[in-house]
Amino acid sequence: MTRKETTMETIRIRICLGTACHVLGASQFQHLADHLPASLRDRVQIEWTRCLGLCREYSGQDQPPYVMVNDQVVTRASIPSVLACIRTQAGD
Amino acid sequence: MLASLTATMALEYMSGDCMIARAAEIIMDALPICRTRRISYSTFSIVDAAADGTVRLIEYANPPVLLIRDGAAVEIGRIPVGKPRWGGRVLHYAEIKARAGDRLVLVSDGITQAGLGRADTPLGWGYDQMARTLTRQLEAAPDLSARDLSQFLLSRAIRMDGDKTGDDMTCACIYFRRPRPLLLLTGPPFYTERDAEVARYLERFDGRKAVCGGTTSDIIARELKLPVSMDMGNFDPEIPNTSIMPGIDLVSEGCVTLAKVAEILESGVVPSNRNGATRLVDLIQQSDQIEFVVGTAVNPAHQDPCLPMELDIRRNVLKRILRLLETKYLKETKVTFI
Repeated sequence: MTRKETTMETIRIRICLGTACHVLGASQFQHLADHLPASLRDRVQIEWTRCLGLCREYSGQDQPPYVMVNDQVVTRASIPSVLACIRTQAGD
Repeated sequence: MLASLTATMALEYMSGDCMIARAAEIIMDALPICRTRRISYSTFSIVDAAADGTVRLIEYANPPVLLIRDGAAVEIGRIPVGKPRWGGRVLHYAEIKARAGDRLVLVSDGITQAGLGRADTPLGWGYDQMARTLTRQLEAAPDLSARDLSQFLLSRAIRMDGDKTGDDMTCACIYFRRPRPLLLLTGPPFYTERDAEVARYLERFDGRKAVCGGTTSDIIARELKLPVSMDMGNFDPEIPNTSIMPGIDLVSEGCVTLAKVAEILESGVVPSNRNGATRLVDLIQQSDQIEFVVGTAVNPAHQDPCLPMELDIRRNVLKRILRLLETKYLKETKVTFI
Protein backbone atom coordinates (compact mmCIF):
# COMPACT_ATOMS: atom_id res chain seq x y z
CA MET A 1 0.00 0.00 0.00
CA THR A 2 1.47 3.41 -0.82
CA ARG A 3 2.23 5.72 2.02
CA LYS A 4 -0.43 8.42 2.31
CA GLU A 5 -0.18 11.77 3.99
CA THR A 6 -1.11 11.38 7.63
CA THR A 7 -4.23 13.44 8.19
CA MET A 8 -6.90 13.54 10.83
CA GLU A 9 -8.81 11.04 8.76
CA THR A 10 -6.01 8.55 8.06
CA ILE A 11 -6.04 5.46 10.21
CA ARG A 12 -2.55 4.13 10.72
CA ILE A 13 -2.21 0.41 11.32
CA ARG A 14 1.09 -0.94 12.60
CA ILE A 15 1.48 -4.71 12.68
CA CYS A 16 4.28 -5.95 14.91
CA LEU A 17 6.47 -8.66 13.37
CA GLY A 18 8.52 -9.36 16.49
CA THR A 19 9.20 -12.93 17.52
CA ALA A 20 6.33 -13.41 19.96
CA CYS A 21 3.80 -11.79 17.62
CA HIS A 22 5.03 -13.83 14.68
CA VAL A 23 4.86 -17.09 16.62
CA LEU A 24 1.34 -16.31 17.79
CA GLY A 25 0.01 -15.56 14.33
CA ALA A 26 0.97 -12.11 13.02
CA SER A 27 1.25 -13.52 9.49
CA GLN A 28 -2.56 -13.64 9.30
CA PHE A 29 -2.56 -9.88 8.85
CA GLN A 30 -1.11 -10.12 5.37
CA HIS A 31 -4.77 -10.59 4.42
CA LEU A 32 -6.03 -7.63 6.47
CA ALA A 33 -6.36 -5.31 3.49
CA ASP A 34 -8.63 -7.81 1.74
CA HIS A 35 -11.13 -7.56 4.61
CA LEU A 36 -11.32 -3.79 4.79
CA PRO A 37 -14.72 -2.39 3.91
CA ALA A 38 -14.65 -0.42 0.66
CA SER A 39 -15.58 2.80 2.47
CA LEU A 40 -12.44 2.66 4.59
CA ARG A 41 -9.83 1.41 2.12
CA ASP A 42 -8.61 4.86 1.17
CA ARG A 43 -8.27 5.93 4.79
CA VAL A 44 -6.34 2.97 6.15
CA GLN A 45 -2.54 2.86 5.97
CA ILE A 46 -1.03 -0.52 6.86
CA GLU A 47 2.59 -0.86 7.95
CA TRP A 48 4.62 -3.83 9.08
CA THR A 49 7.07 -2.99 11.82
CA ARG A 50 9.90 -4.55 13.70
CA CYS A 51 9.23 -5.43 17.32
CA LEU A 52 7.27 -2.67 19.03
CA GLY A 53 8.33 -3.92 22.47
CA LEU A 54 4.71 -4.36 23.56
CA CYS A 55 5.44 -7.91 24.68
CA ARG A 56 7.47 -6.44 27.53
CA GLU A 57 4.68 -4.11 28.59
CA TYR A 58 1.75 -6.47 28.43
CA SER A 59 1.27 -9.87 30.01
CA GLY A 60 -1.38 -12.31 31.16
CA GLN A 61 -4.49 -12.11 29.01
CA ASP A 62 -3.03 -9.33 26.85
CA GLN A 63 -0.96 -11.65 24.71
CA PRO A 64 0.57 -11.15 21.28
CA PRO A 65 0.00 -10.66 18.42
CA TYR A 66 -0.14 -6.91 18.83
CA VAL A 67 -1.49 -4.47 16.31
CA MET A 68 -1.65 -0.72 16.79
CA VAL A 69 -4.55 1.17 15.33
CA ASN A 70 -3.35 4.75 15.56
CA ASP A 71 -2.34 4.89 19.24
CA GLN A 72 -4.56 2.10 20.41
CA VAL A 73 -3.01 -1.30 21.08
CA VAL A 74 -5.04 -4.33 20.11
CA THR A 75 -3.86 -7.31 22.12
CA ARG A 76 -4.52 -10.94 21.14
CA ALA A 77 -5.21 -9.33 17.78
CA SER A 78 -7.14 -11.03 15.04
CA ILE A 79 -8.53 -9.73 11.77
CA PRO A 80 -12.03 -9.31 13.25
CA SER A 81 -10.78 -7.49 16.37
CA VAL A 82 -8.55 -5.18 14.34
CA LEU A 83 -11.39 -4.41 11.93
CA ALA A 84 -13.65 -3.63 14.88
CA CYS A 85 -11.05 -1.22 16.23
CA ILE A 86 -10.65 0.42 12.82
CA ARG A 87 -14.39 0.93 12.55
CA THR A 88 -14.50 2.45 16.01
CA GLN A 89 -11.71 4.84 15.18
CA ALA A 90 -13.36 5.70 11.88
CA GLY A 91 -16.62 6.44 13.66
CA ASP A 92 -18.31 3.82 11.52
CA MET B 1 29.61 -51.39 -2.25
CA LEU B 2 33.17 -51.82 -3.46
CA ALA B 3 33.45 -48.08 -4.03
CA SER B 4 32.37 -47.49 -0.44
CA LEU B 5 34.83 -50.11 0.78
CA THR B 6 37.66 -48.54 -1.18
CA ALA B 7 36.85 -45.04 0.02
CA THR B 8 36.54 -46.22 3.61
CA MET B 9 39.87 -48.00 3.46
CA ALA B 10 41.55 -44.96 1.95
CA LEU B 11 40.09 -42.61 4.57
CA GLU B 12 41.09 -44.89 7.43
CA TYR B 13 44.65 -45.16 6.20
CA MET B 14 44.93 -41.42 5.65
CA SER B 15 43.53 -40.57 9.04
CA GLY B 16 45.95 -43.04 10.55
CA ASP B 17 48.82 -41.18 8.87
CA CYS B 18 49.61 -44.07 6.59
CA MET B 19 51.75 -42.99 3.62
CA ILE B 20 49.51 -42.42 0.64
CA ALA B 21 51.57 -44.69 -1.61
CA ARG B 22 51.46 -47.56 0.89
CA ALA B 23 47.72 -47.07 1.37
CA ALA B 24 47.18 -47.30 -2.39
CA GLU B 25 49.21 -50.50 -2.63
CA ILE B 26 47.21 -52.16 0.13
CA ILE B 27 43.99 -51.17 -1.60
CA MET B 28 45.22 -52.50 -4.94
CA ASP B 29 46.11 -55.82 -3.32
CA ALA B 30 42.71 -56.00 -1.66
CA LEU B 31 40.48 -55.15 -4.59
CA PRO B 32 38.81 -57.97 -6.54
CA ILE B 33 39.46 -58.16 -10.29
CA CYS B 34 36.74 -58.41 -12.90
CA ARG B 35 37.21 -61.71 -14.76
CA THR B 36 35.98 -60.25 -18.03
CA ARG B 37 37.53 -56.80 -18.12
CA ARG B 38 40.62 -57.68 -16.02
CA ILE B 39 40.46 -54.43 -14.04
CA SER B 40 40.01 -53.89 -10.34
CA TYR B 41 36.84 -52.79 -8.71
CA SER B 42 36.78 -50.17 -7.82
CA THR B 43 38.81 -47.44 -9.47
CA PHE B 44 40.02 -44.66 -7.18
CA SER B 45 41.67 -41.27 -6.90
CA ILE B 46 43.21 -40.16 -3.62
CA VAL B 47 44.27 -36.60 -2.89
CA ASP B 48 46.34 -35.86 0.20
CA ALA B 49 46.74 -32.11 0.71
CA ALA B 50 48.99 -30.84 3.48
CA ALA B 51 48.78 -27.47 5.18
CA ASP B 52 51.99 -26.32 3.49
CA GLY B 53 50.40 -26.76 0.06
CA THR B 54 52.06 -30.07 -0.82
CA VAL B 55 49.52 -32.20 -2.62
CA ARG B 56 50.04 -35.88 -3.36
CA LEU B 57 47.82 -37.69 -5.82
CA ILE B 58 47.39 -41.40 -6.38
CA GLU B 59 45.09 -42.53 -9.16
CA TYR B 60 43.95 -45.85 -10.48
CA ALA B 61 41.95 -46.18 -13.66
CA ASN B 62 39.97 -42.93 -13.16
CA PRO B 63 40.13 -39.94 -15.47
CA PRO B 64 43.21 -37.95 -14.39
CA VAL B 65 42.74 -35.34 -11.67
CA LEU B 66 42.44 -31.96 -13.38
CA LEU B 67 44.44 -28.99 -12.09
CA ILE B 68 43.10 -25.57 -13.02
CA ARG B 69 45.50 -22.73 -12.31
CA ASP B 70 45.13 -19.08 -13.33
CA GLY B 71 42.11 -20.01 -15.40
CA ALA B 72 43.76 -22.74 -17.44
CA ALA B 73 44.03 -26.52 -17.26
CA VAL B 74 47.60 -27.45 -16.27
CA GLU B 75 49.16 -30.81 -16.99
CA ILE B 76 50.34 -32.71 -13.93
CA GLY B 77 53.40 -34.92 -14.41
CA ARG B 78 52.50 -38.44 -13.29
CA ILE B 79 54.72 -41.36 -12.46
CA PRO B 80 53.34 -44.79 -13.31
CA VAL B 81 53.85 -47.40 -10.60
CA GLY B 82 53.28 -51.09 -11.26
CA LYS B 83 54.05 -54.32 -9.49
CA PRO B 84 54.34 -57.81 -11.01
CA ARG B 85 51.57 -59.13 -8.77
CA TRP B 86 49.16 -56.54 -10.17
CA GLY B 87 49.20 -58.21 -13.59
CA GLY B 88 49.57 -55.05 -15.66
CA ARG B 89 47.45 -52.79 -13.47
CA VAL B 90 49.17 -49.47 -12.93
CA LEU B 91 48.89 -46.75 -10.27
CA HIS B 92 49.77 -43.17 -11.17
CA TYR B 93 51.48 -41.00 -8.64
CA ALA B 94 51.95 -37.23 -8.72
CA GLU B 95 53.01 -34.47 -6.38
CA ILE B 96 52.38 -30.74 -6.82
CA LYS B 97 52.70 -27.60 -4.77
CA ALA B 98 49.30 -25.94 -4.63
CA ARG B 99 48.97 -22.18 -4.90
CA ALA B 100 46.16 -19.94 -3.71
CA GLY B 101 43.44 -20.00 -6.34
CA ASP B 102 44.25 -23.51 -7.62
CA ARG B 103 41.45 -25.94 -8.18
CA LEU B 104 41.59 -29.73 -8.40
CA VAL B 105 38.72 -31.55 -10.05
CA LEU B 106 38.22 -35.29 -9.60
CA VAL B 107 35.68 -37.13 -11.70
CA SER B 108 34.61 -40.67 -12.39
CA ASP B 109 34.38 -41.84 -16.00
CA GLY B 110 30.61 -41.55 -15.80
CA ILE B 111 31.19 -37.81 -16.22
CA THR B 112 33.79 -37.84 -19.01
CA GLN B 113 31.67 -40.40 -20.86
CA ALA B 114 28.41 -38.50 -20.37
CA GLY B 115 26.41 -38.40 -23.57
CA LEU B 116 28.08 -41.54 -24.96
CA GLY B 117 26.20 -42.84 -27.97
CA ARG B 118 24.01 -39.76 -28.35
CA ALA B 119 23.83 -37.99 -31.71
CA ASP B 120 25.80 -34.88 -30.75
CA THR B 121 28.33 -36.68 -28.52
CA PRO B 122 28.80 -40.18 -29.98
CA LEU B 123 32.08 -40.68 -28.14
CA GLY B 124 30.87 -39.01 -24.95
CA TRP B 125 31.71 -35.63 -23.49
CA GLY B 126 35.43 -36.29 -23.34
CA TYR B 127 38.03 -35.20 -20.81
CA ASP B 128 39.39 -32.27 -22.84
CA GLN B 129 35.95 -30.89 -23.61
CA MET B 130 34.99 -31.21 -19.96
CA ALA B 131 38.13 -29.29 -19.00
CA ARG B 132 37.29 -26.53 -21.50
CA THR B 133 33.77 -26.28 -20.12
CA LEU B 134 35.15 -25.90 -16.60
CA THR B 135 37.66 -23.21 -17.50
CA ARG B 136 34.99 -21.25 -19.38
CA GLN B 137 32.69 -21.48 -16.37
CA LEU B 138 35.45 -20.23 -14.07
CA GLU B 139 36.23 -17.41 -16.47
CA ALA B 140 32.63 -16.27 -16.11
CA ALA B 141 32.59 -16.82 -12.32
CA PRO B 142 36.15 -16.80 -10.95
CA ASP B 143 35.01 -17.00 -7.30
CA LEU B 144 32.69 -19.93 -7.81
CA SER B 145 32.79 -22.17 -4.76
CA ALA B 146 33.97 -25.76 -4.96
CA ARG B 147 30.47 -26.88 -4.06
CA ASP B 148 28.87 -24.88 -6.86
CA LEU B 149 31.49 -25.95 -9.38
CA SER B 150 30.95 -29.63 -8.68
CA GLN B 151 27.17 -29.13 -8.85
CA PHE B 152 27.58 -27.35 -12.17
CA LEU B 153 29.71 -30.17 -13.59
CA LEU B 154 27.37 -32.86 -12.37
CA SER B 155 24.24 -31.21 -13.67
CA ARG B 156 25.90 -30.59 -17.06
CA ALA B 157 26.89 -34.25 -17.31
CA ILE B 158 23.41 -35.42 -16.35
CA ARG B 159 21.92 -33.15 -18.99
CA MET B 160 24.26 -34.58 -21.61
CA ASP B 161 23.00 -38.03 -20.70
CA GLY B 162 19.46 -36.93 -21.47
CA ASP B 163 18.67 -36.17 -17.82
CA LYS B 164 19.29 -39.71 -16.72
CA THR B 165 22.65 -41.07 -15.74
CA GLY B 166 24.00 -43.86 -17.90
CA ASP B 167 26.74 -44.68 -15.40
CA ASP B 168 27.40 -43.61 -11.84
CA MET B 169 28.74 -40.07 -11.72
CA THR B 170 31.03 -38.74 -9.03
CA CYS B 171 32.64 -35.34 -8.91
CA ALA B 172 34.74 -33.66 -6.25
CA CYS B 173 36.28 -30.21 -6.43
CA ILE B 174 39.00 -28.83 -4.19
CA TYR B 175 39.51 -25.08 -4.13
CA PHE B 176 42.67 -23.76 -2.48
CA ARG B 177 41.65 -20.39 -1.13
CA ARG B 178 41.69 -18.26 2.00
CA PRO B 179 39.17 -19.33 4.66
CA ARG B 180 35.92 -17.38 4.66
CA PRO B 181 35.05 -16.08 8.13
CA LEU B 182 31.55 -15.36 9.36
CA LEU B 183 30.58 -13.57 12.57
CA LEU B 184 27.15 -14.38 13.94
CA LEU B 185 25.96 -12.12 16.73
CA THR B 186 22.83 -13.05 18.62
CA GLY B 187 21.33 -11.86 21.87
CA PRO B 188 21.99 -8.65 23.80
CA PRO B 189 24.97 -8.65 26.19
CA PHE B 190 24.14 -9.45 29.79
CA TYR B 191 25.53 -6.10 30.86
CA THR B 192 24.30 -3.21 28.77
CA GLU B 193 27.66 -1.52 29.34
CA ARG B 194 29.11 -4.00 26.85
CA ASP B 195 26.76 -3.00 24.03
CA ALA B 196 29.26 -0.59 22.52
CA GLU B 197 32.09 -3.11 22.77
CA VAL B 198 30.11 -5.75 20.90
CA ALA B 199 29.04 -3.28 18.23
CA ARG B 200 32.63 -2.18 17.66
CA TYR B 201 33.77 -5.80 17.42
CA LEU B 202 31.17 -6.43 14.77
CA GLU B 203 32.11 -3.28 12.90
CA ARG B 204 35.80 -4.21 12.78
CA PHE B 205 35.29 -7.87 11.90
CA ASP B 206 36.92 -8.78 8.58
CA GLY B 207 34.43 -11.14 7.03
CA ARG B 208 30.73 -11.64 6.61
CA LYS B 209 28.36 -10.61 9.36
CA ALA B 210 25.01 -11.83 10.56
CA VAL B 211 22.94 -10.35 13.37
CA CYS B 212 20.14 -12.53 14.69
CA GLY B 213 17.53 -10.92 16.93
CA GLY B 214 15.43 -7.78 16.99
CA THR B 215 16.90 -6.41 20.22
CA THR B 216 20.41 -7.32 19.09
CA SER B 217 20.00 -5.53 15.79
CA ASP B 218 18.53 -2.48 17.57
CA ILE B 219 21.65 -2.35 19.73
CA ILE B 220 23.93 -2.48 16.68
CA ALA B 221 21.87 0.14 14.86
CA ARG B 222 22.00 2.45 17.85
CA GLU B 223 25.69 2.03 18.61
CA LEU B 224 26.88 2.24 15.03
CA LYS B 225 24.26 4.81 13.99
CA LEU B 226 22.96 2.63 11.19
CA PRO B 227 19.46 2.68 9.73
CA VAL B 228 17.50 -0.56 9.97
CA SER B 229 14.33 -1.35 8.10
CA MET B 230 12.17 -4.39 7.65
CA ASP B 231 12.57 -6.34 4.43
CA MET B 232 9.07 -7.07 3.18
CA GLY B 233 10.31 -8.82 0.05
CA ASN B 234 9.32 -12.37 0.97
CA PHE B 235 6.65 -13.07 3.55
CA ASP B 236 7.06 -16.49 5.18
CA PRO B 237 4.43 -17.58 7.70
CA GLU B 238 6.93 -19.78 9.53
CA ILE B 239 9.99 -17.55 9.74
CA PRO B 240 9.84 -13.86 10.70
CA ASN B 241 11.03 -11.40 8.10
CA THR B 242 14.60 -10.26 7.89
CA SER B 243 15.67 -6.64 8.13
CA ILE B 244 18.17 -4.56 6.21
CA MET B 245 21.13 -2.76 7.75
CA PRO B 246 24.01 -1.42 5.65
CA GLY B 247 27.24 -3.35 6.07
CA ILE B 248 25.54 -6.41 7.60
CA ASP B 249 25.07 -9.40 5.32
CA LEU B 250 22.01 -10.69 7.13
CA VAL B 251 19.78 -9.27 9.86
CA SER B 252 17.29 -11.86 10.98
CA GLU B 253 14.99 -12.56 13.87
CA GLY B 254 16.53 -14.59 16.67
CA CYS B 255 15.09 -17.68 18.32
CA VAL B 256 12.62 -18.97 15.75
CA THR B 257 15.11 -18.48 12.92
CA LEU B 258 17.98 -20.17 14.76
CA ALA B 259 15.80 -23.14 15.71
CA LYS B 260 14.92 -23.57 12.05
CA VAL B 261 18.58 -23.28 11.09
CA ALA B 262 19.40 -26.13 13.50
CA GLU B 263 16.62 -28.20 11.96
CA ILE B 264 17.85 -27.57 8.41
CA LEU B 265 21.47 -28.33 9.29
CA GLU B 266 20.39 -31.55 10.96
CA SER B 267 18.34 -32.76 8.01
CA GLY B 268 20.86 -31.57 5.42
CA VAL B 269 17.98 -30.53 3.17
CA VAL B 270 17.66 -26.80 2.54
CA PRO B 271 14.11 -25.79 1.60
CA SER B 272 13.81 -23.78 -1.58
CA ASN B 273 11.92 -20.82 -0.08
CA ARG B 274 14.06 -17.80 0.79
CA ASN B 275 13.66 -16.69 4.37
CA GLY B 276 15.88 -15.71 7.28
CA ALA B 277 16.69 -19.32 8.14
CA THR B 278 17.56 -20.53 4.63
CA ARG B 279 19.61 -17.40 4.00
CA LEU B 280 21.53 -17.93 7.23
CA VAL B 281 22.16 -21.58 6.33
CA ASP B 282 23.46 -20.39 2.97
CA LEU B 283 25.84 -17.95 4.65
CA ILE B 284 27.03 -20.65 7.03
CA GLN B 285 27.61 -23.19 4.28
CA GLN B 286 29.63 -20.69 2.27
CA SER B 287 31.86 -19.94 5.27
CA ASP B 288 34.71 -21.93 6.80
CA GLN B 289 35.31 -20.22 10.14
CA ILE B 290 32.21 -19.26 12.06
CA GLU B 291 32.43 -17.18 15.18
CA PHE B 292 29.41 -16.88 17.44
CA VAL B 293 29.09 -14.02 19.88
CA VAL B 294 26.12 -14.81 22.08
CA GLY B 295 24.51 -12.35 24.41
CA THR B 296 23.11 -13.93 27.55
CA ALA B 297 20.56 -11.32 28.60
CA VAL B 298 17.18 -13.00 28.99
CA ASN B 299 14.28 -11.61 27.00
CA PRO B 300 11.50 -11.34 29.59
CA ALA B 301 8.88 -11.27 26.86
CA HIS B 302 9.83 -14.83 25.91
CA GLN B 303 9.28 -16.16 29.42
CA ASP B 304 5.51 -16.10 28.99
CA PRO B 305 4.32 -19.70 29.60
CA CYS B 306 1.82 -19.32 26.76
CA LEU B 307 4.65 -19.13 24.23
CA PRO B 308 6.34 -22.26 22.81
CA MET B 309 9.06 -23.73 25.01
CA GLU B 310 11.71 -23.50 22.31
CA LEU B 311 11.76 -19.72 22.42
CA ASP B 312 14.72 -18.25 24.20
CA ILE B 313 16.49 -21.46 24.90
CA ARG B 314 19.07 -19.80 22.75
CA ARG B 315 22.03 -21.51 24.32
CA ASN B 316 20.63 -24.97 23.65
CA VAL B 317 19.83 -24.20 20.04
CA LEU B 318 23.26 -22.72 19.50
CA LYS B 319 24.95 -25.72 21.08
CA ARG B 320 23.07 -27.92 18.63
CA ILE B 321 24.15 -25.75 15.73
CA LEU B 322 27.77 -25.72 16.88
CA ARG B 323 27.88 -29.50 17.23
CA LEU B 324 26.45 -29.93 13.74
CA LEU B 325 28.83 -27.42 12.19
CA GLU B 326 31.83 -29.14 13.71
CA THR B 327 30.91 -32.79 13.19
CA LYS B 328 28.75 -32.83 10.09
CA TYR B 329 29.92 -29.77 8.18
CA LEU B 330 33.58 -29.72 9.29
CA LYS B 331 33.54 -26.00 10.02
CA GLU B 332 35.88 -24.26 12.43
CA THR B 333 33.82 -22.66 15.15
CA LYS B 334 34.40 -20.36 18.06
CA VAL B 335 31.83 -19.14 20.58
CA THR B 336 31.90 -16.38 23.15
CA PHE B 337 29.10 -15.83 25.63
CA ILE B 338 28.82 -12.27 26.86
